Amino acid sequence: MATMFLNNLDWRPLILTLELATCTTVGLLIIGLPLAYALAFSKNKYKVLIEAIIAMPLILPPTVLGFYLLLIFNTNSGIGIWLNKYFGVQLAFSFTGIVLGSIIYSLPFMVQPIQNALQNIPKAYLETSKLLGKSKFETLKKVLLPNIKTSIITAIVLTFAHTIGEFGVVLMIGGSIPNKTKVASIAIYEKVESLDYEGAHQYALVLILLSFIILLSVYVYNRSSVNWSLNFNKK
Amino acid sequence: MIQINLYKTLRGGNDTFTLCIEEKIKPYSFTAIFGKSGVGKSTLLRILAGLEFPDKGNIKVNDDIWWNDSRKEFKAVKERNIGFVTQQSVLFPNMTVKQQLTFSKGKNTDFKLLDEVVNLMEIENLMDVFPNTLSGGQRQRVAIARAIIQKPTLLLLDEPFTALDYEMRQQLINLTKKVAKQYKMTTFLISHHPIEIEQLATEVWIMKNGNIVDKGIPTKILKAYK
Repeated sequence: MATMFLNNLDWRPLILTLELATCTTVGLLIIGLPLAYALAFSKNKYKVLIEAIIAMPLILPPTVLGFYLLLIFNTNSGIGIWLNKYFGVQLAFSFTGIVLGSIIYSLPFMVQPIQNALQNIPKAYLETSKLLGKSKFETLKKVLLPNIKTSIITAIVLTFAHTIGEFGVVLMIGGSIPNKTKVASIAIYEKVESLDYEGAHQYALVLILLSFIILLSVYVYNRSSVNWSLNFNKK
Repeated sequence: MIQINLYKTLRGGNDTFTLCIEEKIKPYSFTAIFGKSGVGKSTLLRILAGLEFPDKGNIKVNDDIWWNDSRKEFKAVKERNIGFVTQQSVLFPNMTVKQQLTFSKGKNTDFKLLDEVVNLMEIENLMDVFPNTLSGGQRQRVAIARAIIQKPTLLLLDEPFTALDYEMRQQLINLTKKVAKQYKMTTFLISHHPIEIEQLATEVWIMKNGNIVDKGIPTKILKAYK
């Protein structure tokens, strides 16, 4: 019955959605880890400004972010012309553009859990590692990261899941170009616009199922993994 | 020889006072620091470890300058080779006991020394165990073993036996005494227990409001404090 229900489904928007979520998550992991580390341990009084900027997508309508990214990166803007001329890159209405938009929009979902976890690591661990002759990088690799593994996995999954549901930013900067920028959420919107409710249901149910499986796996993982820092405090 | 000349303004309750230490310590000596809470004992050890800075002064260890504010010299914590054990034994939750013991030097660990210390501390059966399953006494033995295996220039013990029951405390005191003697380490111990100090230390400093008000052989000096 499920096969019949999904019989006429065009899978390309769903595949593109997964590609977008994967690229965004990998990109954010590379950017988010050092950023979270810097924010967690920086004593600079201006770091609150960076924290506020990173958190803005949490409250800002996605269309606002998408609108300004479109203005900045369209082919007639200074930056858009420069990127196209020297790097051959066009960000507006391209897959690269929606990845960039998603990275900015999902930044707090990656940075905040990791930053909070790093800040909650007892200071004594850092001091002990230093006393045992370890550099900051060695401490990060061998003490900090293994002890915040659960938070990193949570951040990865939340970023991935959040990107799957993105609509406003992607629509504004990418439009709806099949195989390029038309992700599942936009496909649903278009199906509803054309009163094709069955088609909208197909995409919606796949997304609901996917989101549920992702979140369920996070909760199962969090329950089964050992919370090291709690163990430290117990003793 | 260790030369300490340091000054640091500290806050104790509503008052401020100056930690003022001017001492020379013989190598391989065992110095105990005795005094009420909040007189600057732990701060002194943290300054020696490089975890805190004095306002002014200098620290010289075996002709090596660890701190000199006038010459703006500072030896980084990781280069000082300090063994530091505190009341709350800090063990990394993600590492087994063996991994904790080899964390400092990795492949360059002195495995002969490791085996000796492990036997001495009676933790040979705990090598593959994670810290969350260890008792307080076992954790403390691992923490002391880890500090010793480093072959530290200074071994700093900040009330390491306080949280333990009487029997475990006696056992660890005896082990520490044996280890300090056997491996010839310059050791500082903070303790509130005169008997503990008498058992371990060659000299005791009595501290009050950041100053050493009395010092000497523990059995003589501590008579008044029993």
